[in-house]
Amino acid sequence: MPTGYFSLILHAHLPFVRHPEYPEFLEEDWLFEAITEVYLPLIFIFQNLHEAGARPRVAINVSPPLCEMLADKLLEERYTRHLENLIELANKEVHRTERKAHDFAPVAKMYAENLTASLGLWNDRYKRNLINAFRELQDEGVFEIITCGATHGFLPLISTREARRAQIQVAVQNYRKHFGRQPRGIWLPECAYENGIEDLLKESGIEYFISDTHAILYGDPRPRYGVHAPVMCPNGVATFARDVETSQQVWSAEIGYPGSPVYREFYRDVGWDLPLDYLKPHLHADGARRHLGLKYHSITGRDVPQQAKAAYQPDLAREKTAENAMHFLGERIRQAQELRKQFDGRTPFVLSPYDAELFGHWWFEGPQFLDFFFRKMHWDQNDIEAASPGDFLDSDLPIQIQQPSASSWGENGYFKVWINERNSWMYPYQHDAERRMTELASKNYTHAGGNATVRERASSKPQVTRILNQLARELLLAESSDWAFQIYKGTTVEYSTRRFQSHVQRFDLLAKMLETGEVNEELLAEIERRDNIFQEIDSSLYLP
Amino acid sequence: MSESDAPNRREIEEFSFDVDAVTSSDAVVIAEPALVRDVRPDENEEFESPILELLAKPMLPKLKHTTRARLMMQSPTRLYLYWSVSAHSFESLKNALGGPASDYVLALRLLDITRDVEEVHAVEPEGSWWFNVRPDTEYRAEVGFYSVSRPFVRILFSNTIATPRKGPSPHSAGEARWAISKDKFVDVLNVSGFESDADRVEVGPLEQNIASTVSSYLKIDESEITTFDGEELRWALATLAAGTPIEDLRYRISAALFAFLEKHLAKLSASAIRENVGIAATEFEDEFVATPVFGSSLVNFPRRRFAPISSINIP
Repeated sequence: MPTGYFSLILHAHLPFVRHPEYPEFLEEDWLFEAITEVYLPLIFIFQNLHEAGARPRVAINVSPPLCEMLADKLLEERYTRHLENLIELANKEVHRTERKAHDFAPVAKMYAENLTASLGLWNDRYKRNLINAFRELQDEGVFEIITCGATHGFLPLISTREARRAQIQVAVQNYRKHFGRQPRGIWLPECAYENGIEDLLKESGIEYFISDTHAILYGDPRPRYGVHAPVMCPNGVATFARDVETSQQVWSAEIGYPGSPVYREFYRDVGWDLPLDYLKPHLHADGARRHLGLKYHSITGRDVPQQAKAAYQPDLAREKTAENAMHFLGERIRQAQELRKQFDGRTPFVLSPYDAELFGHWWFEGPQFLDFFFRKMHWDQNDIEAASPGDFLDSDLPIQIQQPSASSWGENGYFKVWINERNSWMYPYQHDAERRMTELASKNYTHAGGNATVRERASSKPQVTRILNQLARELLLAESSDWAFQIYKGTTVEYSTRRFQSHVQRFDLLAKMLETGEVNEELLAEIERRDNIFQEIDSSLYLP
Repeated sequence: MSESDAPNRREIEEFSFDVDAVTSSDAVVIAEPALVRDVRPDENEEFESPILELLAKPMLPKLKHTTRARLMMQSPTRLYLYWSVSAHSFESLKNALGGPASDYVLALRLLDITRDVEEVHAVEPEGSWWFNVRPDTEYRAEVGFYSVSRPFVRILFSNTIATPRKGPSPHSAGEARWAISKDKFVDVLNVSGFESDADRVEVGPLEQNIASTVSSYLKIDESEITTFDGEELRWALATLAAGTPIEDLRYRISAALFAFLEKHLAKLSASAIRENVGIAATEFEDEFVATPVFGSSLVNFPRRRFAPISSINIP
């Protein structure tokens, strides 16, 4: 038995951003950047680790909106164009830097090589569908893929039981569609938990959820092993909570590894540095500058202004990444030994959750760090063993029963980020739609008469069923916690506000069709075309 | 303290009218969203159909002027409520009250169900409110007609919110296998990075120490204070330390404690409490300190012992 278990949890999520109504759309770049910088590199390194026999083990949430975008044909085509265009720029840059900017030649070459390799993986190995890659890694025992709220809805702030339940049930259905099996675990959106959520999870067959540290530390009774062992809610659903020490080592901007001066600077991008005419073929039709993902500078120093940043040197960064990975592993051994002393010999379970997008997007060297870490863990020591929460549950080790405490992983530990003076205006609209959804489902599914099952009744009026299903999609999209989060943070406020308004408006337009019996087929079809998430949805799950 | 001798419970009868079924066709927007600059589409863009134009310029629908209320938790010490009373409910109740209607004002009251106390505010038929509240307590809000001398006439009530305890549980597990001594639990909290909580568990609940601190500061016998609920005393002092006028506490704490605080008010200014009783003005701020993190999430880290908070972030 090892001295300690280490459980890496990655949360891969983006809101559903798909705009077929425009030929190109700035916010779709969120997905494209994440595919290039995060998902492809992570898949690539974990596939390689597996093939090398390093036996990596990670639980990863691929959120339902992300799954839906990764499986979408329109976005697939747009991403392919995006990547090809970026490779064109990267190749141009190799020539330019060789002639005129030698300091940046190594980094320009690195991008051209990486991007070309990414295109090969995208086209040839994964056939432009990364869901296949995630599923393959799950089948190989590398990933334990968990689910999330259907649209990352912040469950404690959803007003009806039916709407909360729908966030879970739609997610589980969607997981089955993409991964062909039942999910064992769930990343509660924002790790937001309050008493009673475990009952919804149990109804959907979920065995465990990820929570924040104080869900367990402040739970009742006191946890014998703190957050370094899961607890079981009285209804039998387990929760695993975040270890703070590992969070800080990777995530903290004060002491975290990503702040190393030799690592790549995130905010300095050729999209803002190079002449506009030169960049024009690689920008959107509006010709506006934006981040393009080719970033040539290192952090250099915390107080060094952007214009004084030094050229990024890939070799130096790689050395530092290996050093950080070794340090991280050494710290895990030390931590496990200390914990074990306190635990009377019981093996501690250290759960370390992160946004997947931290690795590769924000922290460029992150995927390489994980690669080094898992290699060293497998070949250079025997104290620490990688394990998923599902592995722990399968071990049949006893678990303490406890009622966890309300909490989230967001700023200040509770719900402030999602309900505050900047975004509280959203909730009367969201809650009104939640109430109407159940009202409309009750009215329309039961009025068809007969003793048939709900599903049969619904299918007797296909147009009504279409409207109800689209209502459910609009409600789910309005509930995405991403909008309230961005509005609070003050980033992409216009877009987030607009998205929330759009879904509430579309919900209202569709609801009025049902309420008045006047169906505008053209409008219905256009809304269906735009918000095509969850084609499998069954809105009868909103029935009380 | 038992419910029966809670001195600040208003001895009033309550009754409710069933007005929820009534829906007016009037419409009202409860709150305006943040100003949105219409960045897409172009103001001059021409649309192929009215449908495309409609979808390109999203507007929030007007919310029906129905009777609704929702209480939401922001943190263990802060709640948010929005409400709306339909014009029909408002008028029909006013008519039902008849002559005495002029004695009434429309009021919002927050019920502390755990302690059976309340706070009352005059309000408009629709609006929103932030409340400072206590952890580990059940709350419900009500809107109705209020009069000093008559029963409260409830028009609507909200859902119930139970704020969580803002710290570790006082209970160890009953089963021997999971039972943990105080000293071991202190170690568990320390190793989890929750050092402030470890300190708190180690020295016992702060309210246990507060009686001796306050009595020595006020130069009075400790027995004068130990009759009060320690948690309530601490909460009341923290509220005063945050600059809240004492009048705001009148119906939110026991009458005896209110009288005590009023008597010693000269020595209980916000700054005096902070300096002499050791209660920070930040009691209502959340327990955790936001530390700059890489990436887009705002992940919290617990407050560390003696750790300075850096303002450095990656530019």
